[in-house]
Amino acid sequence: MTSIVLDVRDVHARYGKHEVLRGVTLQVRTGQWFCLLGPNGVGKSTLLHCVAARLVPSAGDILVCGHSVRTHTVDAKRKLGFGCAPEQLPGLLTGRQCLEVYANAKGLERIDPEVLELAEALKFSSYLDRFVDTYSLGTRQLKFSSYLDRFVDTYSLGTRQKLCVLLALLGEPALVVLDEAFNGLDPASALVVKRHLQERLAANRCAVMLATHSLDIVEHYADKAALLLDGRVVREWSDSEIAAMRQQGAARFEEALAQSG
Amino acid sequence: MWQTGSAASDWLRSTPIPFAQFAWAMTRKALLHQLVGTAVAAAVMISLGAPWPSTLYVSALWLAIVLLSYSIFVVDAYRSRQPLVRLILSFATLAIVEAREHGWSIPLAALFAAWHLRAGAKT
Repeated sequence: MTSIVLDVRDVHARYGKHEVLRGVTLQVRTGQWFCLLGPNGVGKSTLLHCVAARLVPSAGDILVCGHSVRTHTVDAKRKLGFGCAPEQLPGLLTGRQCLEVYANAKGLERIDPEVLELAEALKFSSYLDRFVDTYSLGTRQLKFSSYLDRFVDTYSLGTRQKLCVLLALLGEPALVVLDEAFNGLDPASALVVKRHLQERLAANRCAVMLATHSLDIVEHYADKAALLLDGRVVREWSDSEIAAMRQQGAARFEEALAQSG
Repeated sequence: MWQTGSAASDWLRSTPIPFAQFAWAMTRKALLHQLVGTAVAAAVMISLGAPWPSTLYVSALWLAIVLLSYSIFVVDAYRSRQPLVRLILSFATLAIVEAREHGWSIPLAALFAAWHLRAGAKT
């Protein structure tokens, strides 16, 4: 029996007079990969920001592992891992410093070794480093800093995105919230991240909430999906429905989405 | 300070970082630089023949202004608010008090700073 990690209860949110979310209700359980779909500007990121306690809902409540983001914000945040937008990363810190500051802000004494292993798997050390490691020049070993020890300002979009994912996974979060986290990632790195998330999900260590436009991810990885339109969830797909569409072949989900929209 | 604080606050908003930790991380180095700079300036003033009481007064006033500014900046960055109105009101009050009672603006600035920081800690 898996527990409910995220319970969104009739959430409304507004920016000034403009109401973006108009009563969103949904639940995500431990071990579930939940995909949030919808066209641009319907409130996907706003919902994620409410879940990550970055934005206070104007009505309704959100419980993360039973802690309300309105009344027990700090307890809720302790259970969260939020993948920030790449442009929010501090450019004048190195990747390692970002991880250290973030770990510190989450109350951790050091960066999780598992996150560092993932960084290694994501080739945060450049090909040049590997070359130098392999062919060290006698006693005068040349040292080139890895991506992790370079300033974030020098990163490409994909490398920044990798760092955002690593930050989200710090501190064993019960709910990993990712907004378009696979944008800009090369296919090999995206696969490494997906497999890592699947391992965590299979061990019931967390739940994943991902806002995405990639139907491929929904078809192949999601356990549950929801379509957001005009600030409301207009359609939900269960694990079995997604599995059925997967078997029916490519573009089936696209058709279902077009019908719902 | 305000720009750095806002960017850091935005980046760390989804973490459970307490205000005290955030404020200390943001202001530690800047405060140290101000302390060293003020000490150097005071030493220069005295070596140029300025009287001790005036030097101490100017140094204390400068540090009180810095402390008050930093407290407003860091609290408002943490809360994602604009600091301009609070800055204007605080410094206008200090100027009025200083014009009436010489030297009173220093403890008042410290009091304002403590009040702002306490409000931030309650966030």
